[in-house]
Amino acid sequence: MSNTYKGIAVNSGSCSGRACVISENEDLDNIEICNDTILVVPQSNPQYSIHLFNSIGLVCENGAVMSHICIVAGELGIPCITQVKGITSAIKTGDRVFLNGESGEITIL
Amino acid sequence: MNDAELLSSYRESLKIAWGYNDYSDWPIKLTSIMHLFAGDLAMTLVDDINHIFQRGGSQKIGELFVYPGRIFRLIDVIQFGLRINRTGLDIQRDVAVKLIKSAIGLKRSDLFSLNKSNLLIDYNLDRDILTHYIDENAINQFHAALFLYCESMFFRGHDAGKAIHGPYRSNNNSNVIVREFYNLCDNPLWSDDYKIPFNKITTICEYNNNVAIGIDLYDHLSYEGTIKGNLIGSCVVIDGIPIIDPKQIGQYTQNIIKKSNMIQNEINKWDWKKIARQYANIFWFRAYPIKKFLNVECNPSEEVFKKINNGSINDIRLKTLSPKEVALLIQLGV
Repeated sequence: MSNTYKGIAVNSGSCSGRACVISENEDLDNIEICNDTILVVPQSNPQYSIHLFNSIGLVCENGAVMSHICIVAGELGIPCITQVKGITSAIKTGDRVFLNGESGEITIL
Repeated sequence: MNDAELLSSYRESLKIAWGYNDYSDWPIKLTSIMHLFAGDLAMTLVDDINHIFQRGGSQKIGELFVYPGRIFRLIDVIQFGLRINRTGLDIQRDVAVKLIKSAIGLKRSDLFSLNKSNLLIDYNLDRDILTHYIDENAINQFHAALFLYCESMFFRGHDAGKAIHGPYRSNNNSNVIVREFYNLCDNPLWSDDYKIPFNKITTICEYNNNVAIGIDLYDHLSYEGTIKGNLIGSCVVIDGIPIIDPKQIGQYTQNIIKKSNMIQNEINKWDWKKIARQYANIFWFRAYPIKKFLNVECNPSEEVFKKINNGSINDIRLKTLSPKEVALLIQLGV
């Protein structure tokens, strides 16, 4: 089974770190962001954007290239990919991942 | 361009700007509730726009809105409302053309930003103010926080609070992007507790040509490459006062994030009807330059709020449309 998932590249650059997966209806007060966190979110929501400030990358399961959260990631200059089908189920918080903002791929290491 | 060509180009630019995408929105899918208020707003605005046209032509509306992105986004709203009201296509086209013509006088680049630039005709870049360099991280976070604040406060109507223009080219091939944030505290949508104490913030940032920055007709920013490591000059002006201390900007950023969080936490307690009422307030506020100029009521009527209270969500429009369905909608438009 492949451990690489493909979406649409939004912001270029690459990074590797630990995934922090946010599911729908998750209690966002309990989210822990470290200095190597790659945020994985189901969709664009400004409440998720707050956690972007200390993250090093962003992966969205749904959301337009021009969605708010992707634009915020662009303003922060961090790599971002979107429309990665099933990614919030495929990855667990704590997994080490590599995000490639050029090819639009995320790989579980 | 004649009117038919203007409309055709406008349709093409919509396809590029929206990319045939349709996704769920925060705090609610806008199209599932717009039927409750957009029709009323459109009817009042068509009358207002016609009235202003008789008095000052297309130029006057351009002057009122200042930024072309605000006008283009308003066209969408009015068209949606007119379709709800089953208004004839001739009226829909007439008002769209009037608004498109209003934007012509504001731009010195391609009207529909097909070349990814949004250059304002009256904007004169003062190069001297770019001699400062504010820490890149501080300025990037400041921008991100302001985007967050505008979306929290104005939802999808964030053109009521921000406009982006550029890239203005400099002699050494660098690109200058101007981000303007306004109505940040001088608006009736939230009480003061939820607002930052500044009303207008402008940032002017110069990037080297390692990153290509594009802006579409809705003021969406896009990058080829990353802005990280490519900032070569910057300037922040808050209510007319230049701010150069990155620590101060960092403190402002934290306060903006805090206020955004407060707004979002408040909205999370609301039911869909309260969100819809707030959306109606936001949409009327988006149109306030017109209403203020005509000295007419800037708020939704009691009738609008009654419609929301007695209405229901459009379940069909809660669904995310496929790219094919979005394409069809664009064709159904003007």
